[in-house]
Amino acid sequence: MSNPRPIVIACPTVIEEMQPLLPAGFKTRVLDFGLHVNPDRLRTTLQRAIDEAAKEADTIILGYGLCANAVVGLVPSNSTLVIPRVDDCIAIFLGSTAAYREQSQKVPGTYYLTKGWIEVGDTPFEEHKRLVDKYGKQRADRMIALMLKNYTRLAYIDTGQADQKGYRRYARRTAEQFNLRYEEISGSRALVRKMIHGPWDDDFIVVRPGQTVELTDFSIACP
Amino acid sequence: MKTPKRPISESLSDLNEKETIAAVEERLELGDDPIRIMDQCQEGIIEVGRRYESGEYFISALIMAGEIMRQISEILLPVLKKEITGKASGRILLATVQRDIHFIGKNIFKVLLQCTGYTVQDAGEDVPPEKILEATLAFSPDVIGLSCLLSSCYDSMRDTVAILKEGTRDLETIPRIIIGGRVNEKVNQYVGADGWADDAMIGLRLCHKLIRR
Repeated sequence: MSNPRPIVIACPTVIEEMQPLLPAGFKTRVLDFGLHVNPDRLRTTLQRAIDEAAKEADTIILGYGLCANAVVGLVPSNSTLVIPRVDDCIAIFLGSTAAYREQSQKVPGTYYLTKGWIEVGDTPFEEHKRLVDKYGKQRADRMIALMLKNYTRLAYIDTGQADQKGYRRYARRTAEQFNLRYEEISGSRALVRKMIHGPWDDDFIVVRPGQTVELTDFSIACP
Repeated sequence: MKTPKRPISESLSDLNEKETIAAVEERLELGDDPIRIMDQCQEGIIEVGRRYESGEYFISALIMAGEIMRQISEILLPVLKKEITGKASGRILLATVQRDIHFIGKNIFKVLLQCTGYTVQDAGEDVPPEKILEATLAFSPDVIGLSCLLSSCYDSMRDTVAILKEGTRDLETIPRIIIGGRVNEKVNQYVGADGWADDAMIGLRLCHKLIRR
């Protein structure tokens, strides 16, 4: 082992933001986005990926937050695990938990989109298309209207990626179609940059070999 | 006796709203036991959950299933009320905590509670702690069920539990507080609630246990 270069294990939406900043030769492992649906399965898959990565690297960076407790209980057996101290990837895209809190306090009913989310197809627009194919337009409209009942805003997070024009257009069109107020909000690469290059300060949970990730590890981000 | 085209559990798990509602009405007219109809609906809901976890269904399917269940409960409740007199009784207040707007799990839980004989008040979603306390003092529930899907709202849930415990400690009957949604024992300890459930049926059994005292 004894490899000074960390390995990144991330979800597709987070890796999208990390890729432009990753130095050459950085190994990455991207897990299926659909795993989020079942936090227990995500935890098992993450643990397996961590055990695999530990054979090659001393340090593993997780491109995940608390993610519905999916990371609670993970144990890096013989490597150090670095996890951003955030609830989920929205805080990663916005640059901090504080920025995420500010947004969710301002408008709790916000549907967030980024380039990465649009690419994995996790949008109401794509879901509507799937539903139309399966059930016809009338039922699809009703299902999406129910799903978005408490949402008032669609926020496209500008994470500083190159060439976002098409994604912005897509997000705006989605907002119009589902009667949501469209807004673009500025993201930040600060946390993503620190994930890759450090320092792994209070914004991160650094789990030493043999230690277990606990829910309370995340509570400092939520004073 | 006319046989329905296919089981209610199947039309519900296929999310066919019209077919399911029509089948429920038809079965009632034919004199079928409403509790048996409800059991079949629950089978359908379990299948929806299974399809969601396997990736076949998306979030909207869960919400649609919850909506169909809401309509079924409106049809079955008046009939069930006659059947459930003398069975489970108690008052339960439900709310999704502040800054969380999700409702599907809470609504399915509500239907289950109502169909089992509980009197339920739903304070809605994104409800500030003070409002939940206000509703508690007005409604006098035996159990308060707080729902939360977002881990970013665990603190909101913890604040709510603290305010409720402080605000109800002098009451003759202190309501028990349970949490539901994306929660587990660790979250339960973190927020200081009296119990947790990540499944509507588990929540129902928890209410039976807590209210039986």
